[in-house]
Amino acid sequence: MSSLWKKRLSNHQTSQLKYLRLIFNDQFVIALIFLIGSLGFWYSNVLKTITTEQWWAKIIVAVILTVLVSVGHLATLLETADSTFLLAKENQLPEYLKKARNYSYIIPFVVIALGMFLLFPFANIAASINLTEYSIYIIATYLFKIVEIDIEKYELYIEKNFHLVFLMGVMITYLVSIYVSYLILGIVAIAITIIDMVYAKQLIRGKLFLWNKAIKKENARSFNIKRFYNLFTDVPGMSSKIVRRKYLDFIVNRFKASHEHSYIYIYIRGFIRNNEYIGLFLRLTIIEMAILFFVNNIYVASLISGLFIYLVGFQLKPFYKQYASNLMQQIYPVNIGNKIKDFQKLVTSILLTQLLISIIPVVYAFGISVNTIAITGIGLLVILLFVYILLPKDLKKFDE
Amino acid sequence: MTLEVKDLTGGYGPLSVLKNETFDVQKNEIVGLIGLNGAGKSTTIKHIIGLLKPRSGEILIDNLALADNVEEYRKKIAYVPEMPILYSELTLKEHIDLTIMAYDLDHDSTWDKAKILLEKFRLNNKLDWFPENFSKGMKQKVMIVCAFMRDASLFIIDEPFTGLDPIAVHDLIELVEEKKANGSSILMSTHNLATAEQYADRFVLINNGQIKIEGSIEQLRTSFEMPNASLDDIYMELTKEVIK
Repeated sequence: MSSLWKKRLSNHQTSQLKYLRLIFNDQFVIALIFLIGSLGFWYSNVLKTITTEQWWAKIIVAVILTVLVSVGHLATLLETADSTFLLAKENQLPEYLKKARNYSYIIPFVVIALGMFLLFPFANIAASINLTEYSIYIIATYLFKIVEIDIEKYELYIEKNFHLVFLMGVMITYLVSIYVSYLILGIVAIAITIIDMVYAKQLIRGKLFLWNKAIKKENARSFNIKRFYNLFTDVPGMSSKIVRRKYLDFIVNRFKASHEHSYIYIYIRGFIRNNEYIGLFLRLTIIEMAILFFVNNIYVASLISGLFIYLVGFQLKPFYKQYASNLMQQIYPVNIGNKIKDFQKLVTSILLTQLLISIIPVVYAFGISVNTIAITGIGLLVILLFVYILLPKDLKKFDE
Repeated sequence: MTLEVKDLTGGYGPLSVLKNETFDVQKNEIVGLIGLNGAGKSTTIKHIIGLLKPRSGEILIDNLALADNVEEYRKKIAYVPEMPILYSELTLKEHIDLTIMAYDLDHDSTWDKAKILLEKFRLNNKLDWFPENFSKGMKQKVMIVCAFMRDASLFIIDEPFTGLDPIAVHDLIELVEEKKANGSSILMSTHNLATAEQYADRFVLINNGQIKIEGSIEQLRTSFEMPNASLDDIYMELTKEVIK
């Protein structure tokens, strides 16, 4: 069983690494650096404006600490076939689960460390928690997480789920401790850890492992992770999903197709209905908006706006290539020159929409001012350059 | 004469797959293009529909070459590829609308024809489906509907019977005969020799990019000196020669 765990773990890590490498491509790293930079800048500005204790800060600290406890779940790495093949090995399962539990601690522990570090300045100023008190908070948060993952393990032996109840209890403990005394937090955390170590083991003694429940949980967990990855990259089995999106037909119908412009008929439907491309557009536009929201330097804002327009346009090129290599399309009795022209029309519409939406955070940051107009103008210029100079050059090369 | 292939030499890149092919398809005629895998059937078809350029030789449809008028030439052809090629983001109904648009057909009268075909292939209640929900055979039927709702001069059907259920095979043959009666030409590449023998008027047997022999079943029997032989027997005989 211990070698099985090792094998599962190495398979799991290989596949995770593969996705992470796909996610952290150059463009995403650039966007991420900007995002973290502007968020950090925003946080430090917020801290500067807070000088005294705030009534709402204590609640926020309690909520954030509870969220930190809830991050990360027990990764059993069980597979659907296990309920058939491992059934005979059930008595050795605790050993396997122990390894799984220990592995599952790693990511939450890092997240808690990072979260506690970032939260301290705010907790210190706005909720007036001093460093000594805060160190008790750190220890308690770690203990809570240890118990929380243990609970998830016990839940694989009993029908009932009670880790949500546990999290509620954790939040109440944090709130009471912040308002009354940190000593309560210390006592509760230690008490609950002792209960976990001594009593909880008896709870599952003699109980059978619930294979179906465990497998269902593990599948849901890995599905959620894949769905998250799919926001940034194509995960096999999750991407290229076609959705009808009838509610967007008003957009589709705005693109009037005719015999000479048959291509736009395919392009607009492909863009709206294929999750891959509309997802890419939404992803990048939302990240762009999030960054622009925090930037109040005109040069940086123009750069980001232009960069993201270029990124979206650039990533749409495979879309054209996908259709251009369709054999039936190659033999249509339609003017071939319109193939690129219709695509330019689609890209222009997409990029103009992007520019229009991303002006909202610009207006928030700069108001309706010369700066806003300048950023819009630069965006338009990038669209013109991309659609009418860069794009046709590249597509013609492809067609040949 | 609808299709004339004269002295066609061509292929992919620098390699000549086809060598001096000459054959034709007349009006009101079904011609079967027969050959082993890799003999050059699909390459021949790709030249005719204009996806590949001949290195030398000429292809005419109704006396028109591709270079004379690309769009007119393409309108004359209705093509059903070996593997169905559909747009995954378009519904069945939109595939028909798109074909009508791209081939500049009359909307209402073409839809009337399409409806009859859709009913024949039991697709009439699946107009809003996406290709991913169709089986291989259903996809092939969509391709057939999109091709046969048109009045093209030349129908080119590449391996039409693979993946179709017996009823659909029967229906397709009926459609082909109907088009033949209406004055179209049909070029059909196939491995299903029994069916081909039954319905094709003439056969073009190709091997190694060269036409080995062409003619009606009687003409083939005479030249192979195999009276009463089926197309299957003649094909086997040809295969033996190939292996030698």
